[in-house]
Amino acid sequence: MDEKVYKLPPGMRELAHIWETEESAIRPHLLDIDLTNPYAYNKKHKISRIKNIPKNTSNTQSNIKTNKIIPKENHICDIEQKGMEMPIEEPIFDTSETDTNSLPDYLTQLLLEAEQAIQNMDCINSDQSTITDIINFPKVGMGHEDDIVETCLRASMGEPPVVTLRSYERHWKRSGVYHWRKPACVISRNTLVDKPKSVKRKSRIIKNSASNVKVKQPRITLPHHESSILDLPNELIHLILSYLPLSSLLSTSTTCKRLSLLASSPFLYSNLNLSRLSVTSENLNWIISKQPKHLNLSNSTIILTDPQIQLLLQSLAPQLQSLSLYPGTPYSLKGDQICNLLSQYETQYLSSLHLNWIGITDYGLSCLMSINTLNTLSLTGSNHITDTAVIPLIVKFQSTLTDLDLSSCIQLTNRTGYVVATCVNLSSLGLATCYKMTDKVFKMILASLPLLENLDLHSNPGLAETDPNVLEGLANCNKLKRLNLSQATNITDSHISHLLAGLHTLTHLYVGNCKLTDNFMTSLCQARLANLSHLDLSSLPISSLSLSAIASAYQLSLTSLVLNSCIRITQNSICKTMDKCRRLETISVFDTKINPVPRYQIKSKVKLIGTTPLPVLSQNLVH
Amino acid sequence: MTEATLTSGQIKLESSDGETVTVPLNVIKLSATIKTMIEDLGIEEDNDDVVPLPNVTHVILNKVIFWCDHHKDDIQPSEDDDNKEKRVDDIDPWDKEFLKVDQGTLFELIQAANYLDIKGLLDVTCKTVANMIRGKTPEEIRKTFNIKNDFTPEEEEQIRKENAWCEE
Repeated sequence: MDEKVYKLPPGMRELAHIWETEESAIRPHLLDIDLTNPYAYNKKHKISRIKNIPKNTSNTQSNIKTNKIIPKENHICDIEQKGMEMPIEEPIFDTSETDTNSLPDYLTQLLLEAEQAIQNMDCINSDQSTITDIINFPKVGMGHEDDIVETCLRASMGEPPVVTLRSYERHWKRSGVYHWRKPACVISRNTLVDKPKSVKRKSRIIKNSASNVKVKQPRITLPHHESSILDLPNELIHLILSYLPLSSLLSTSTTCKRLSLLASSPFLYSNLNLSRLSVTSENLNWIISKQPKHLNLSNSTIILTDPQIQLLLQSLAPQLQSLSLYPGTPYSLKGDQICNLLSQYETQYLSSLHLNWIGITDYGLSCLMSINTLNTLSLTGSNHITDTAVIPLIVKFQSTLTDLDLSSCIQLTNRTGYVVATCVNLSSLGLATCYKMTDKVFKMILASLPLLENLDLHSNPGLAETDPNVLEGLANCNKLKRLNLSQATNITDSHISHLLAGLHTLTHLYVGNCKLTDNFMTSLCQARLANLSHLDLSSLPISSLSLSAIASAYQLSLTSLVLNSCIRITQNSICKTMDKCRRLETISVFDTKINPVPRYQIKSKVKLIGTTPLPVLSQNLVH
Repeated sequence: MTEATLTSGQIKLESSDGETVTVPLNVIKLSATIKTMIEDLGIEEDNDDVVPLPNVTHVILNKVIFWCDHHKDDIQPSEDDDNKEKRVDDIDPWDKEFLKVDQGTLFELIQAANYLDIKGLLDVTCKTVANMIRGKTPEEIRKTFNIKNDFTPEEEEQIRKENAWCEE
């Protein structure tokens, strides 16, 4: 490394002596200097921020460096002149009296000039802040003095200071050693700012006596200038705020006036997610004032009177694009009332409705007929609705619907199913727990909806009950990403195994509780689905060997593996899987005999959940 | 300006503090500002023209170039869908390391990314700051960012009350 060696000035010898003799506690202050070789001084330790000082200054030219202190009465403030270093002794802890007399003459002179200059600047309060105040400011190990002396130099030259003195107090407290007063004068970028006048000159206190001084970290890296988020222009703060969830936005708006204003911009609330929060008469007006385009009230605690709900929907309807409802506690949503209200107001932009489990009846559905277009409709858990009301609704939105979820609408029969099969643009379809539908309709749906990406047919015991070829249509679905067949208890190897290879876009496969065996696992391994990341094999009687094969085949893509109740799986095969599949995040093994795997045994970050604790471990816990 | 020059040529940029940096065009093309400028002005290859960047210091400029160099082969992200909630947990590990800098640098990077119109960098820096805000109380946010509370106690109480419903 290119290091310049400087000649050690006379005072440094004394410093070296102190290094040798004083308590080690003091030494950290001196770390900047390589005292093992007192005649060498490493350039790299110098603070080089002063290089911008004009060269034409008379006796004050150049690199000033320093920041070592010796606690107690000695302070070395070396100023380097043309390659020379001059140690200056100055009392630093006892500054109850500012003693410029102890400074060498030339520096005293410099200070006086600088002080004069600073006093002449109108941006600084001269009787509160003098140059000696600045000079006496804390000086250990952070290059403060550079700032200070540079300030002096610039001031004496009539230039505005450009360095930054930060709130040193913070750093001092962090090191836990001293209590310093606040800076008498803080110089921030191109500005001098007066410090509060309550700061008294004589209040500098040393908490610990010098011999107890311990500085663990003598060099603290400071950011190179004082910065705050408030330095950014409004539009960038706004952009940052757009990444925040609601609770953080509200926290931010309580910090200061400017952020409060920025964080209240309605643009940040166009997608208002109030799930798991309460909606009461207290924040009703707030919600209305934000005019959200997308309102999510899933699991929200809605404590509103009927007129208030009416007011809410009336105010939001004109710009509302999507509405999500799912009852939280207390169960206060009346589905039919909401459908009725939606039909009363102008809802020209509304295109997405999630009305799950809020007890909609056929009457409510007939109200929805007044909506112009819908591309997303979710009516899960509406167990009162019947074919009579659903069919006209689906027919109306036949060409626009892309997402349709009728899961757990248990009264719907094949008649609805046939209509669903005509919605050719569907990319997401949920028909879970539709008991009354049969193979006939499932087969038709699969064959006629080639754009499906997400298909949920779980808990349909009727699936594959009569028709062995019911799933053949999957061969057409070449965009399918998620397929959920769990609890479709009639599905066997022969129904699906040969289709797997065609599902090359599949990312999520749920086949828990189907009648599948190791043969299916073999087909799955051979299928090489490059994107398969989530696999649910709950309750399948798969062997450890199959699991290992799966782990090998999908080691690059699997992130989540569910093996609940797979009782044939052994501890060893789980460990191997965890080791092999580097992208795995979770393996679920509830209701198996799998014990926890110690962290040190696995290389990946995978979480193993649902393990049976080892008896020994639990004993330890008891003790 | 042909596509070929864009992939092979170089351009000189001058930072606000007067340093000149030579950057391959295929790296700095991530900056829509510079890309447009090159395309519009037709800066020739091996030209001595220097593009002045009066808002970017050389320290920040170097960091920006470093970032662009690492991301020069990325697939350009498609336009954001406003309807979806923005994700903040998808920061690339390299970027995470890259952005382990002090706040001053981070904010300067944001400004530079904005000025140079580098969408990916702006996105990831803003996400990083957003992550610094997430989950914090107002007092913690003030502390993190050196924000002075300029509310009167009455105002603060008022605004705190208004927002209290969202506390979990």
